Amino acid sequence: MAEPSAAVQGASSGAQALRGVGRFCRRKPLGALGAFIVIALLVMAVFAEQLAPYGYDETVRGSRMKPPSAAHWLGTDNLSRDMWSRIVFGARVSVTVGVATVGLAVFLATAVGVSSGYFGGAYDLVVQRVVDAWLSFPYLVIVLSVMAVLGPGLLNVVLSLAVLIAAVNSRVIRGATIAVAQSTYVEAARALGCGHARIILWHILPNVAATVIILATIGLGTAILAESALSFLGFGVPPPYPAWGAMLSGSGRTYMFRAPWMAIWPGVAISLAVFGFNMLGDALRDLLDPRLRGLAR
Amino acid sequence: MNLSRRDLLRLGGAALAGASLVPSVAPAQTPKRGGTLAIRTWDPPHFDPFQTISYKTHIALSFTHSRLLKHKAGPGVVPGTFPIEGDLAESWTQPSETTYVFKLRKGVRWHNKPPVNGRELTADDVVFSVNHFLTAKGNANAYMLRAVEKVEAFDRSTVKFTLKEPFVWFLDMLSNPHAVAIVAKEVLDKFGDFKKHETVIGTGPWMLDSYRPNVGLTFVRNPSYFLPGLPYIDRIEATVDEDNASRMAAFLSGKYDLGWEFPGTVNRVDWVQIKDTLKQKRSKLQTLEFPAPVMSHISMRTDQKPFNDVRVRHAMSLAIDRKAIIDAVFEGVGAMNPPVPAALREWSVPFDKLGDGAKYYKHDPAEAKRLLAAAGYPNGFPGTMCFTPYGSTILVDAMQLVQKDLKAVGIDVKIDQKEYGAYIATCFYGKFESMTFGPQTGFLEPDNFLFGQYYPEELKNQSHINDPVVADMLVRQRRTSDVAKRREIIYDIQRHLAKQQYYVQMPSGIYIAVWEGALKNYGPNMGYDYGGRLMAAWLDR
Repeated sequence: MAEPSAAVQGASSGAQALRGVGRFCRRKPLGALGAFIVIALLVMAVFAEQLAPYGYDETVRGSRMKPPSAAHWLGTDNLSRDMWSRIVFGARVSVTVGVATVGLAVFLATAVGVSSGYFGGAYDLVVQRVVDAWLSFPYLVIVLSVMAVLGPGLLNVVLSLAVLIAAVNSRVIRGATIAVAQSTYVEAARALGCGHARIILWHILPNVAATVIILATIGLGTAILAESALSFLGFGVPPPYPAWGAMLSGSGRTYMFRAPWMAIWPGVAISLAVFGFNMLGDALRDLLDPRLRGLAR
Repeated sequence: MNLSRRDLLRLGGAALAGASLVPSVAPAQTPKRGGTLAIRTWDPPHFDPFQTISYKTHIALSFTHSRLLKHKAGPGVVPGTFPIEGDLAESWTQPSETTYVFKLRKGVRWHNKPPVNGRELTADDVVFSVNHFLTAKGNANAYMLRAVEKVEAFDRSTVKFTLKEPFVWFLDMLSNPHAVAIVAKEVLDKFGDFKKHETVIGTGPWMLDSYRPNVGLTFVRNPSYFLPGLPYIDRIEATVDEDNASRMAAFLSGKYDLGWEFPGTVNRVDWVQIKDTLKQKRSKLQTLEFPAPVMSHISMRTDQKPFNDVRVRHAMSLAIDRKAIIDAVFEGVGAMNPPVPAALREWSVPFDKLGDGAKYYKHDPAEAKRLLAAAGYPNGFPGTMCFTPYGSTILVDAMQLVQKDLKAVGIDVKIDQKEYGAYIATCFYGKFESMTFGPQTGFLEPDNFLFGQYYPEELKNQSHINDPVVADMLVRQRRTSDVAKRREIIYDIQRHLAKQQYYVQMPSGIYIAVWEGALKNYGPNMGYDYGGRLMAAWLDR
């Protein structure tokens, strides 16, 4: 008797989830499109071996710089490699770098920004001067210095970009925290005897989450583009493993006039990734922000 | 002369192709004084030629400084050949195998700038410059004159060099734009070194008029230059331009009179894209094609397993599809290189005279696998390959093809990509675990390619070679003054090296030298000596 009941319950929660997805799509069509793109990217990244018809470094004899065709949907590059296969494998690098960088950056920025904005005083003063000093250096100088010490590679790209993006974001999160910390509900929580940890976790963080999400979505695009710059300078993922940025700024740019697809497709992939993450982030912000939640409905 | 890609390949890169975008016959004309020549340049890290091997510095100083000897320049000189003529030296003699005496030109004056204020150059200046070249801390080019035991001034215009041992390349080294720029002691005394742009005081055909960091340099004609009437061109505007799209646009619009890449060329990849537009916009451009001396190679730890087995090295060379590299990265136009690059046409042994070793330059993955199996590596082996991209798409693409070719025979190479500075400090000088892939300096004579890379314990002996047969021949060629005999020794060295494959040589591209039709009496060639090549050129516009 229990089994049919569980099945009915499962079907009902599945239907509920589907209805929720349908409602999300109707109310936030751009957000839904963003979610679709992000899911597609994740699928490409995870199942690259299954989706790509060729290996990322496999050359197809006699197919140098061939335009898009039935045999090669996105054409081939100057080393006779299938562009679609390289774009699919490239998703792995871009998604990994983007998500890992922004995840780490947001974690660091939130920790620094929220603590600095909430506690204020001498702690805030010292932390903000350190951030000021950090921000006064051109970003490429910092990244190149870090990379020169750590050496090229995916992990080091993530670390260096995350630290950089975190410094910028922490300033914004600090501002949002200061505004939220002056709210009456925070004063009320304090009056009721809540500790700092509880106030930060239950009252501050949910109310700066919208800012964090926006920063994260903007940061994803920045991280993917910065990775491309580093790849071009020789600090990214070493070739022949494809990274969209490197494909765009390396041979894509060199052969742009003769084989525009070599630059267009990585560019499209980067734009779509940034667009997808931004749209999804916007929609999530509308849904998650307590102040915007009503408007979202 | 029109040559197809196939023709150029067949000729092994020793071919030359020169053309104008429209047919034109230049009648003999009287040189004209005046005008401004515009070129693209690179921002020098500083101006001290004794503290850097950077082409950025040496190119800038080629306009302002003289040497004892120089390479002849002009349309009559075949690119890849470097006949020697006097620069500050009016004549020279060689009383013995180890003694050279140079007679300096009279009336040579320094640029009219403090602290020398146009005083006359003397033999003491030459002695000072050579000694400073040999003793300045951090001069990576000092090895070029390592054979010098002492240099003395006999009188105001006579300089005598005594060598420790016979060194037949001595005059070539003195002519090389990497080598001794003649400088004044007063400048060193006043400034402490030659790094500041105020120290750019020489006896060359142009004077540095202004230096704008990261923007450009302006050179103006030296009115007191020791060759009467020269130079013809009044002003050289050299613009620092770090973006290729910007450079290409500038060239299309007529901003530069020489091709924007070193040494006054246009990369074939770019050339293919813009040549039709150039036919319309700059129809008088002149071109000349010749092989580039810059050659990449795989170096490896031949003092360790598995590379100490010659069969492994043969397999590596046989694994490389050089024709595919030429097709993919040089637009199908390239030159196959034996140990001395094909660009040095007087010294590079033609492939049909390379002997048994020639077969290892063919692409034969099946034979490569067989050799690996015979050497005890039936499944290949893993290895790391040190690499830096030099900001070059061409190099990155070539490296990827090399990696793929090696993988195809079972050598699974993991790329150890380093930052440029770290690469130069380590892998470039042989400090690596397994393999390194990268370009070598495009020297202008074979000794630098051979002695530096193959003589035991030399800094640039990247493959850690200790081969007594090669070492003996390397020393012998340095002592053989008869050019024909020396060439035969150098050919023998290359034949031996082809059989040993201590380095796996890659093909080179073919330069496309491009210059404005209004620039007369100009002949392109390799090397940093922009000033020398432009000294007797003139503008007809």
